[in-house]
Amino acid sequence: MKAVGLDIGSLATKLVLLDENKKMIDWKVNRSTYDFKRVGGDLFKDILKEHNLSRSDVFVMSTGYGRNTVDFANDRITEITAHAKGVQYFYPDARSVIDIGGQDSKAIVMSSKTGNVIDFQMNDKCAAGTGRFLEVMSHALEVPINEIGTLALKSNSPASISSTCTVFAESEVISLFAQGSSKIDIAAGINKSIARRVAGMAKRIGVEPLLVFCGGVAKNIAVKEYLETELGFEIVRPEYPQLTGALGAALISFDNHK
Amino acid sequence: MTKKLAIFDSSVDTPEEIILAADLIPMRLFGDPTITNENADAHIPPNHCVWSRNLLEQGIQGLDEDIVGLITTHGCDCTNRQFDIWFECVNKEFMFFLNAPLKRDKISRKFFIKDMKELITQLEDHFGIQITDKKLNENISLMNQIRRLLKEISEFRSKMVLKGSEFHNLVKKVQTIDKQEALQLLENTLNDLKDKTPSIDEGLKKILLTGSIIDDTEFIKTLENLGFQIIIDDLCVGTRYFWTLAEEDNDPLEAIADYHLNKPVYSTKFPSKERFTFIEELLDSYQVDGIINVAQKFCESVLYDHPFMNKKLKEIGIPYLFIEKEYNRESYKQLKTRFEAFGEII
Repeated sequence: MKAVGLDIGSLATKLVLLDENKKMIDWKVNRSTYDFKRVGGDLFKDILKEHNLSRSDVFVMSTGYGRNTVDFANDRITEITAHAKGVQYFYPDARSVIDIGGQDSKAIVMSSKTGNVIDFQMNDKCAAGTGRFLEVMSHALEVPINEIGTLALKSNSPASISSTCTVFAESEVISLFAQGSSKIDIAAGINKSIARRVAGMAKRIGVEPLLVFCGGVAKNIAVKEYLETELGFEIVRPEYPQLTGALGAALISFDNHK
Repeated sequence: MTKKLAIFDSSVDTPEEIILAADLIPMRLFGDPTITNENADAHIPPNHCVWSRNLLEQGIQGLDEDIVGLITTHGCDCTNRQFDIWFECVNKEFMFFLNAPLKRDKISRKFFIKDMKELITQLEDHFGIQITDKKLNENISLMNQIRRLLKEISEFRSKMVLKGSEFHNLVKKVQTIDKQEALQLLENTLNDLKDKTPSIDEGLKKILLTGSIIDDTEFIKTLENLGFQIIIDDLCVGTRYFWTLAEEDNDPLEAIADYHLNKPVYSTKFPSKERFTFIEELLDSYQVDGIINVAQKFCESVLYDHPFMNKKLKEIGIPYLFIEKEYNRESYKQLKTRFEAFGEII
């Protein structure tokens, strides 16, 4: 049997296919849109077709915000447990996780003995410190979201974004433009603001190295660097930071069907 | 006896015996998570305790006609300072602020007794009644009977006979209805429970629930639907209302003061160390799988306690979940992932 992990996040849906030896053989990502069920179902159909598989050839474990919409899943698991499991695929010695997704961010601490989650903290009430914040700010700066990190690292004097609210931070960015701040410095300020907020949350539960940074925002090199500064230690980022939830779900489905 | 005296108390330090001795029904005010707080928000900023704003909203909209007055009892600072607003906006014929002490030393005891005497004087003057020691002692005895019954019934939660939500609803009811009626209700409930065998799924995760005032039974039901059973708690709509007894046949006001100053400490009072000692005692007596600490949004006293609790519980090695909760039922859905993840950790 193979296994599929399906992570339906608020912004992106991620699917991972593992073979019988738990090796990742394929993956897919798409926008979640408003119709989680359809997007997840379509990705699943596509992967089965591309690998000449039928439904009965795979275990399916769903996770993420939309996990309960997946009616073809064998089981469901929260994204907290899924990410913790997924990062250990790449880094078996991982002790902590910071996951910044589209509409939430979370910090997770795992046991050094068992690798199981022992504590976590989530922010899902506020867009600040999430991918949505970056999206809004990219729009305000007229910079593509995948370039805002690289742009930020050119700054020698990051602007100060004091507001923790996305809406007010956008107003602050406009004020900074009016004061003549450069796009580079503002971009740096925006990325720093996310890092500061998430690091504060992570410190409250005592994250430690080896810390794995995942989620869509982990693709942003500036947020990673600023997080390292805030936390005071180096952090690592897997090759596919967006896929750790789906990967963890697939791995757990193997464990459940031993 | 049909007239009621409302109690606005974020702890449970209001001496109900005095109200009963005044031939009034003590009725604790609870929030209503199905309403919004527009009127209250005109008086209090929205980043203040959402529960107390909810009570103010109900007050402004109008309390029941059979409520003839209000006692606000010193709990947390946020609720204390609302007395003036209630005085202006919800003015009832009798209003009193009872300064239940923050500390638990000898001076505080004297101070508490003096303030209870002042409450008695004002009740006597206002309602033209006499509150005698005999009446106070009779009601101390009545309240003790209620506490004993509640404690006995509480045990059926850990025996997996009584749902946490059923017990929560019962405690809440006892805090609002006529106490003789409450006594009858508890006696009947206990008799029914004695005949029952455990019927609650043993696979549910057994939880000690603590935190701010949790007065919406639907919240407990939400936890049950996610695979938890509250077998014990450290709540004012729970153990803190009945865990200990008052001395009987002594000076009644001294007995009432001693009862309140020696019962388990809330987050609204200090030292936090003593509050944690009570939680440790509960952990020794009940086999719980984890602890859930719920802070009502902007409840500063529970927020202050959390880092200390977190540190201590980590040392003990028991799974611990801390959440902040809004005061509306829609928000319970958003907490689902946290609760499910906690269930997975356990």
